[in-house]
Amino acid sequence: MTNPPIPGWTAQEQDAQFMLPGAFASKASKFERSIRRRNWFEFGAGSIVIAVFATVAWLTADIASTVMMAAWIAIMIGVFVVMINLARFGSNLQRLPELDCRTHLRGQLARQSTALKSVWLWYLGPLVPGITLLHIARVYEFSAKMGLLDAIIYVTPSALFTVVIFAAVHWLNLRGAARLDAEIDALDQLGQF
Amino acid sequence: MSKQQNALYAEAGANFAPAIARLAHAMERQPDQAAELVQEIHLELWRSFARFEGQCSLSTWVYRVAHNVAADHVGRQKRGMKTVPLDQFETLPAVHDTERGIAENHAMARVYHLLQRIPSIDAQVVLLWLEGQSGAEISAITGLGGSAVSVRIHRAKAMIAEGFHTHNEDM
Repeated sequence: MTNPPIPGWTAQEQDAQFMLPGAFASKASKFERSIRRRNWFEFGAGSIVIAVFATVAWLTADIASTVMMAAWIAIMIGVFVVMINLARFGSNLQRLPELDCRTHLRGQLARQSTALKSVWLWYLGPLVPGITLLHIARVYEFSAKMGLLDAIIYVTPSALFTVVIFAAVHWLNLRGAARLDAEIDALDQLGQF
Repeated sequence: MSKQQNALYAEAGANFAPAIARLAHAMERQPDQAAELVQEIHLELWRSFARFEGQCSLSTWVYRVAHNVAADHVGRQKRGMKTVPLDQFETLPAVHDTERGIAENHAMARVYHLLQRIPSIDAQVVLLWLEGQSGAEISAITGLGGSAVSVRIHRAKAMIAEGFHTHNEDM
């Protein structure tokens, strides 16, 4: 401790006092509240998606092929797995604010980077079986009217579009992870000299 | 809730309550948000004392918890805006909210404005220096190397001294 360089700075807030600890017993931190809120939001959004697909499956139950019904079910399962993964990522945060500031920040960045790099596994991956089945089902249903080759040609553009969207999401996440890794490298250097 | 946890909390309150209030008001400029941040720091400090076993000095522990909680609190909004590293400032930035600038003493308002615009890790060093922490203490709290801390202190010292000098000349 040295003499404060700007006395006017330390002259501020001299009357400040700590809250009484009794007030903490039932209080959730803003950090915990934000995680809870985010989990509820993701749960709500996932539930809506599942409800929409369940409604579509129910409405088309009489006319849809078995493959199409399997696609709807696989998509619903995929969304459910994504919801679980999102909750898992949000819930296993261990908060240790007593670590030095660089280590604390580095830990957060590293965790975010790992999550972004593995988006293909925990976010995109669970949706792939359902989406793939959906396109197969479309080929199967169209082939009855126009023949297999024409059905494949007809469905290919939308299938390619889906592949491009998935690839773009994966690429954007990798780019975000690379930016975080650069920040981590800069932080590591700050700790060395 | 242990006796030791409460005793440490009381000791921290007796010694660091004003510093934590200054930190919160420097990092979060909306008064209601700053008040919430103060409470958030108190809560996390109290919780953290259950894990305190003398790993470092009480002062280092308190400042680490306070700064990390404050950085998390403003982290989202700072990530959304483009911060400018401390070494890219030649002088303290001008305050555009003149009403606030006049109300707060112009040079002090410019220090607050600087703290808003620089990355959290730079702001932490400047704030700890303003609190009178030594370079070694700042290193222990922030985890930055001695040279990285020195460079930032040197930069802040020159800018803030110049800012207050100019302010005094203007008066």
